[in-house]
Amino acid sequence: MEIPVFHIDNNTFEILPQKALFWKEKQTLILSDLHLGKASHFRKNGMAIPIESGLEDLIQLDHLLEMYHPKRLLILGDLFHSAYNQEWEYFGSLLKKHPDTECILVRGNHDILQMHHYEKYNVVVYKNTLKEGNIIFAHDVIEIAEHEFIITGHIHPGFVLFGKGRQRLALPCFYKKKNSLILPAFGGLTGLARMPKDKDAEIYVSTGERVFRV
Amino acid sequence: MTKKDILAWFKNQKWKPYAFQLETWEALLAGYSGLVNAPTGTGKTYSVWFGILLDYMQRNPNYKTKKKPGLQAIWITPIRALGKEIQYATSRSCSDLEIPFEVAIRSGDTTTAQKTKQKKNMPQLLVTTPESLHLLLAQKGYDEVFKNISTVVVDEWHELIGSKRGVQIELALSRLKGLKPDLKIWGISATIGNLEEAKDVLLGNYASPTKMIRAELPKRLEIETIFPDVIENFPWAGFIGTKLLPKVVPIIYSSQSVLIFTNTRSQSEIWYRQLLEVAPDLAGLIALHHGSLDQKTRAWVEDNLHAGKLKAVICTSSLDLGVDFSAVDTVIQVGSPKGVARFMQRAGRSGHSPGALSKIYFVPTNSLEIIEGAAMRESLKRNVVESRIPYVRSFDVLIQYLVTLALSNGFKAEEIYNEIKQTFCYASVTPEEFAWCLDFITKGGNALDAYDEFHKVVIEEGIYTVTSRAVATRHRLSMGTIVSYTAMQVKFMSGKRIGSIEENFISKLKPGDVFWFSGNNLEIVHIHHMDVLVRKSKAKKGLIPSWQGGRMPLSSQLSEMIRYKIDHFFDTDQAEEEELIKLKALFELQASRSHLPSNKEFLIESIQTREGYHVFMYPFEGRFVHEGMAAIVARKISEIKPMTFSIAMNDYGFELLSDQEIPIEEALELDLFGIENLEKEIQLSVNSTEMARRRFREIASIAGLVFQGFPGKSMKSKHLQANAELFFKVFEQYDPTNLLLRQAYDEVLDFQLEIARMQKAYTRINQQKLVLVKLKKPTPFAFPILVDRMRGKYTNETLEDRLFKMKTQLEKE
Repeated sequence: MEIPVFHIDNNTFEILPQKALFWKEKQTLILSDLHLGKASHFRKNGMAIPIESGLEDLIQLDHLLEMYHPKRLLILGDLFHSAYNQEWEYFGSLLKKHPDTECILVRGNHDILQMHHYEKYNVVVYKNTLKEGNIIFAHDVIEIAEHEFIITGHIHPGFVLFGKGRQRLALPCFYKKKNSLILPAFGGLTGLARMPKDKDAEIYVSTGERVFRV
Repeated sequence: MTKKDILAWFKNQKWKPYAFQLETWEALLAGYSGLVNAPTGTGKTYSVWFGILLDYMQRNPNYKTKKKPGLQAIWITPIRALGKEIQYATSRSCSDLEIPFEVAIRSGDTTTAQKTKQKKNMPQLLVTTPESLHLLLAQKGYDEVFKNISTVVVDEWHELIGSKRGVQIELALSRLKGLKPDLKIWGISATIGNLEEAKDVLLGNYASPTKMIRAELPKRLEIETIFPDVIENFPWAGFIGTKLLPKVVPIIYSSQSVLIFTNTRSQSEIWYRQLLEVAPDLAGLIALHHGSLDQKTRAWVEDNLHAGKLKAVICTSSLDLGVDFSAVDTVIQVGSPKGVARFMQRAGRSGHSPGALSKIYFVPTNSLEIIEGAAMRESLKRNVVESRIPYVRSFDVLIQYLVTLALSNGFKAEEIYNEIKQTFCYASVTPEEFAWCLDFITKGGNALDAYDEFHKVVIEEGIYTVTSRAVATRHRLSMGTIVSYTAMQVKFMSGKRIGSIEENFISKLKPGDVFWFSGNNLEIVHIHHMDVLVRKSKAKKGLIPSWQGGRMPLSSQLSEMIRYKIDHFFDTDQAEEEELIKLKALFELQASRSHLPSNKEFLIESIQTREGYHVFMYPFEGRFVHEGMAAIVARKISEIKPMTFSIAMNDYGFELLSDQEIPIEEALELDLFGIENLEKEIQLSVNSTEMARRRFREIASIAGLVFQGFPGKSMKSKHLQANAELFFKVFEQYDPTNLLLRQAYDEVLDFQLEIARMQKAYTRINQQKLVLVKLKKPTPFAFPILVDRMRGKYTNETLEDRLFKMKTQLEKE
């Protein structure tokens, strides 16, 4: 199965169907918008969503970490959906299971956990952005210089395909332009924001099994 | 006071009591519950009302001096506007007859001050809505409020029975019956097809004796269809109908006051705009009325209509009910009325004395629809009218109700289970199912996780109760069974509210854009959170918002009459009806391009166009049944080879469209309409469609799974927002036996696919001769479906295959 790649300067990024990026040179797995703890947060407030639904994302993440053995796991915000609940500890045990992977979080608008929770599992937290060479990682888009490239999450991009016979299909997508890339939400308990097919946009949709450029 | 005084009062008003009124008084005095079947404007209010008074006075001979008698009766109306009329009629008779009875209204409009006053000193009659009654049950000490109550009246029960608001009433009554076993329940209903059942649903399975009282007043109704001058130029498709608007203008001029009923809110906006273009002198004399306009605006329109100050009001079903507008002398229906009962209800909106002739104009919106004028007349001739199917086993409403009780006085499981078992809706709920509901509100379903933090209702010493203030607040804010799409509030810069439109529509616009709403062109100044701030614009054109919400299907009764009229088209004696004369050219074209099916035939057409391969079928059974049949037919065909279909339908037929050639002949040979077990067929086919998912939106909201947030919402409440679709997906995956999920599928069967009706359609089709025609050009039957943009799909191709095809398609363009 062919995995699409793109390059920034001399860096290679693989676009994975599991809604994540793999940065080859730095052995870094990049993903965004997990919204962990959402199910528990709902339940705590009397909304009866099955608890298992929140655990599926952790299983997926575990698979990915086993597959790629990355040096770093870089999360572009909205790692945890809201205030602390038990699901944070599940995430913690997952990190402990992969001690060679360093977990880095660039904070998003949902990340309201107190610092000691991050510290407990050695999660390195960047308040707004992380800059590596000309590449900027942030939760939401910010202004950047001409020669820079920004990778973000936040909006949960999706793309709607139309086929013959008026068929319609909405899928999560990676939304790339000349100097920017928006990642799809990794978390399953999220919606989709429909993206336009701009002329200068490269859109990669994921079926979960494969990634297609459309 | 005695019955004699009341008779004297009637005489004073120059009225004579009808037999059904006298009968109702006696029944109430004898302790009966019952259902009064009487049309609007026949004194139905006084039938039950004087019964209540007589009963009260019989039990309280000292009624004139009795201090603080407390709440004696509740009068439930489906809409607030009716409440005012009831309050007026009842309090007037009380003051005339010198009975110290206070009447008050309790609805969403009631202020906190009024509510506090009511709490201290309850009126003797409380006029309210199903929602407000449940809000009373959500208050601590409600049992004190209801302790003296003797009678509950449910007005316009025919409007409530086919909805979850009807279920709310059943539940509230079960609680009141639990508190006061000798409580009398009285319903008032217009004629519907299942009147006996309507009585059983309302009165439940309680010990009290019951009675049906019918008014038997004759009704006279005349229908006149408005025709285009040249039928050949009249469009084959569409449902807006402004083409005939110039012909409506003279009717407006020659009438005192006109109600123009349209089927959708956008349609009413379009009609209003075009009417002003054609007849600018009507500016200021006509008004709009629909469900998305601000309550104050609607009240203003109703008041002015009542006062005879408006020449015409363009409205939707929002005015199907409500106070009598005596100034209205003409009613116009634009587009298919979809059902006989609805049509008659609308015709009855013109003020008239009982027994007088009502006239209603029918304005078709496309050529084929003309036949509905004739079909309607036939229905009236034969006295057929639709049934309203009651909801059963609505676990969503039950769950909401249980939390409501938990947050006021709390409840004991066994007591409430015994009460709901007496209702029609929940008679078949098993102890296991009830236990599931209790688990759902206390444990959040099957919680496998030891650390689970689910919190909603807790059990304290055997009492189910709510201890969290946040849970209580959220529940109170989201009570009710009417679920609206995410609505944005449209306001002027001054803060004055105009109404609401859907987020979907506004998301396509930006500040500076102009849209047409509430009869004005409005320019967007600013969009902030859920508010759209606007100012009036002089721009000529603006986009017209659309509102989601299903189009009603054509009723089974009306469908049958349409099939009957088509079947008799070539009969000489029928050709005298003007609708059929006008349709002659169109039907002949249908016959020459394809075939005009008689009642013994079932027509199937196929055609290839640039869009792909189409197959059309015409069961004439309404769009809901067609949606289900189309899915079944699609699945059966795709058993021959993997295919993806796009499905479209209207009330007359449906279409399958595919990128591949559809093997229709082969499918027909393999017995395409042979159905052994319809429910199974549906489950196989419908699983792949969106129906249950769509149904689930309402269920999730009623059951309190989705929370829309409230004004000034904090970050934390924002974190609680999710759409029903997410819950649907998750339940499907992790909790497939969830009763709310099962309910969605059951509702699809009963209400969406109308399984009983579909079964009949299959039986009929199997007795008909199948006629397959390959078309060169689309026919008058096919065209309206062909151009419909609202589509469903059926597929058994893999996601990857479909994507690959779409992608290739995209690249070719």
